[in-house]
Amino acid sequence: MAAPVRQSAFTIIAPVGGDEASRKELKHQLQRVDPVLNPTPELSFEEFPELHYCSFVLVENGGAPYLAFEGNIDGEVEPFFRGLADRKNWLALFEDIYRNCEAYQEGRLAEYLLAHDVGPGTWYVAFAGRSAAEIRKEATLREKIETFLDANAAALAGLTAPEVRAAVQAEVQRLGLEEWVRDAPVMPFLLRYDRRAFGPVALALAVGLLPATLLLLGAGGVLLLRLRQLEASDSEAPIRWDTTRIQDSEDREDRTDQNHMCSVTRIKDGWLRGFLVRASLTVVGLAHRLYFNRGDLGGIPTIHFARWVILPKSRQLVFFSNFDGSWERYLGDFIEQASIGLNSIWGNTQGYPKTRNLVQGGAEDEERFKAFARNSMQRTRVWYSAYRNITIRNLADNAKLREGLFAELSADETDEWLRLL
Amino acid sequence: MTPYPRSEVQGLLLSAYRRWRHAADLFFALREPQGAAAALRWIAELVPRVTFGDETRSTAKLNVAITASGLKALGATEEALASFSPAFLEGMHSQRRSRILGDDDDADRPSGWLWGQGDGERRVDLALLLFHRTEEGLQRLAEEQKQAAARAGLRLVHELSLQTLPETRAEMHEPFGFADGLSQPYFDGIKGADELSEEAYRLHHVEVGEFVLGYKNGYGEVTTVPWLLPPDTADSFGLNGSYLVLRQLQQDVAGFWDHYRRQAGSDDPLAVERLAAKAVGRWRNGCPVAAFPDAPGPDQVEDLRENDFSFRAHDPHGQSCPLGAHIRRANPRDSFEGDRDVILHQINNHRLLRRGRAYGPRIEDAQRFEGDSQERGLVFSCLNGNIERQFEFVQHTWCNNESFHGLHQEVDPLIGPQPAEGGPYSIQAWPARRRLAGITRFVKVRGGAYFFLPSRTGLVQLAQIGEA
Repeated sequence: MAAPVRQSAFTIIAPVGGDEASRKELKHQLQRVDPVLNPTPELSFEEFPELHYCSFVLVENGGAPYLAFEGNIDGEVEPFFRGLADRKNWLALFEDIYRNCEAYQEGRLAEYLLAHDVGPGTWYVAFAGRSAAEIRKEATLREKIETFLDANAAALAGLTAPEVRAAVQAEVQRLGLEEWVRDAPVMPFLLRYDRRAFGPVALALAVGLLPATLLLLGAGGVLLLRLRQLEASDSEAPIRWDTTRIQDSEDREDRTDQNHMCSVTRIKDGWLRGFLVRASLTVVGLAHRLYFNRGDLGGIPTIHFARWVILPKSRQLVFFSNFDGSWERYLGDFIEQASIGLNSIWGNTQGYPKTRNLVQGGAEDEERFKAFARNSMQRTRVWYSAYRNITIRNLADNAKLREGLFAELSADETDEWLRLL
Repeated sequence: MTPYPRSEVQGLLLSAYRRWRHAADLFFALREPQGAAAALRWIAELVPRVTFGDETRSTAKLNVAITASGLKALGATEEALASFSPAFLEGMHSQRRSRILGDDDDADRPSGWLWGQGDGERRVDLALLLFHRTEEGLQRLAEEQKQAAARAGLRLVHELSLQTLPETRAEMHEPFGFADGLSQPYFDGIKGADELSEEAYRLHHVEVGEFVLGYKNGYGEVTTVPWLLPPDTADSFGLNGSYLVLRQLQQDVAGFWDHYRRQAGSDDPLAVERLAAKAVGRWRNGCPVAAFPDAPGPDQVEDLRENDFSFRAHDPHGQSCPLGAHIRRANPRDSFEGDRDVILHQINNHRLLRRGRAYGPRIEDAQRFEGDSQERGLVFSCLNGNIERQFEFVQHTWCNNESFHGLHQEVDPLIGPQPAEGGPYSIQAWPARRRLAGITRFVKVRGGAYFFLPSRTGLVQLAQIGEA
């Protein structure tokens, strides 16, 4: 069996010179590789089969402007950058971009990128271990099977479920794909256990480490009192939609089945807010590793990759997400499924709807929350998705289709497998 | 119990005026900028003629709705306008909205519409929606209103006369021949809301704020209310108002049935209807395919129970009513996986109160119609408290979504935008699904706009905007 692929992420934060002209030039250079607004970009990220997603965002409002370049890849970051810099045309194009950033040295692209990488922050991956290449190949497998069913609809009409499945198996063998289908990567350990076991295990740990738990609860109580004072003094402005900014980000949206979102917010003043946002991100990160690791984040079933990064020596919280479907649905899912997680993170940032005890209120104030989220968005300048028409649900179903194709299935499992088509 | 004053909300919010069988829509543009004063006087004179929710007896019904450009032309300040919904302000015609609504192919582009929004000649600032018990009465009312509007300097951009509604509910069909407008949400104060069975309540009851602004919505929050006069000087303009979406959808009836005859590979009327019903999700008489998979049930659409069906109970895998059928996309009910009450609560944050009527010459038997040169279709009309979360969500996130319900690369077979060569449509079945190819859209957008439907107080305030 093939080994699972290790994924990595990078977040390159490069300061941009203060003058208007170089920023304008930068925007112009970025257009050259943007596959969203430019259907025939000069160079295509397709050249990098290890790349799942990447984006460039120029953050200009509030504080020193910078260019953010983030990506999600299979394998390690350094060889990816070396490979980029080794390709002459890519090197030239990236140099045209980074020449407008501070302290760029010609010919030292990989070094520059590595030196400015602030890492993945709190990083969410829908399916750890699934490479971009396998995801695309599994989608192709589905298309081939669908085409076979369409072309042979009449012949298959009178067959039983096991017979239809056998016909599909024969077709896949004929296409020479059986060996690849059977060689599905093993999932990493944390994805294989029954996640219903998580609750009892966590409880047992908390009880087993009772003294530490009590200490934490005590400290938490003290912090909560202070937090409630802060929450009581938070003010709330009337809802205001920044229409220019909204149109700027919406302009790029919904051109495929997936969208990209970059949000920049400022953590409220005071040590407690700084502590709480970091503590919440730690908890979210842990919950993701241990529990929300099967294609949903806190019940939101549409996120491929996301990350929260607190920029070094600043109070800026930057969020990047690659998600399926409309922004309106994404934000609705946030409110309906994950308001606790959202509140505990963004409740510590300026302009967020008022929270109570950190996790209550907040996002439940739907209109104010959506206005906050829209207003915090930055226009994405470049965005690439390696599989822009494959949603999380599609991707999971495609994997199940492959997994069940040559497996031993009961009658019920066979019906279930055929329903994947 | 009515949580809002009935004398404040326009009648259209509480009734589809079914017994006012004759109807017409008049679309006007204001002449700028010198026309504002005369138009404001006209609005002041119009208020006593407007139908509000407490009026049930009159032979005529008149409702009035205004677009963002209309508010602006009448003198709303930039600051006041910013209190309205971003979608309303941007308008249905923008490139971005065309993209999400599926209006961005050559046939449907707003630049070719008969009426709409934007800068051109065809821009609509204001709509009068007229309903009457008799045809002569409607003609008289329309003539009267057109003259009064003309005297006030308004220009008639477009006029739509709607099909006379049949006497009984069972005879009401959209032009393709399917019973329409069957599934409606209920909120407190609307007729029938206090007679819902437990199950109907779960499926169809929503909070008032989903349709009437200024009350609690599905999230338990009081909705924002847009204003015209500075908020502390008066009740807000938008209180007891609603957003109204109108779209003129031309339907090629002969093309539609011809297409499904070819797709069915048969002239047998039942086989053809069965396939078309698989795309719509209902038989022509309104019976849901999820509950009646092989043949239409009895003509009982009057019976509310017919609309209390559950996808989960009848048809969890789409083997009767396909997962991508029009009515399953437009209102998925309990179709998605998860706790049923939670799912229904989420789905019901996206409900539309529909008020559409057909236009153009009526066809007796749509399935056998051979075509003529006349234009006909549906004036889709819906009310909602939040255009983005309700109307646009249904159209974009459900109907036009290529991976709705786990499907792959297909859209709503009835109203979704299809590629030139036609698109696929999956029909789930045992042991394996069928997939149709070359599904074409026989609906074409001819006009449309986002309006605001103000309350009585709102209209009075609007008329006084010049004095502020």
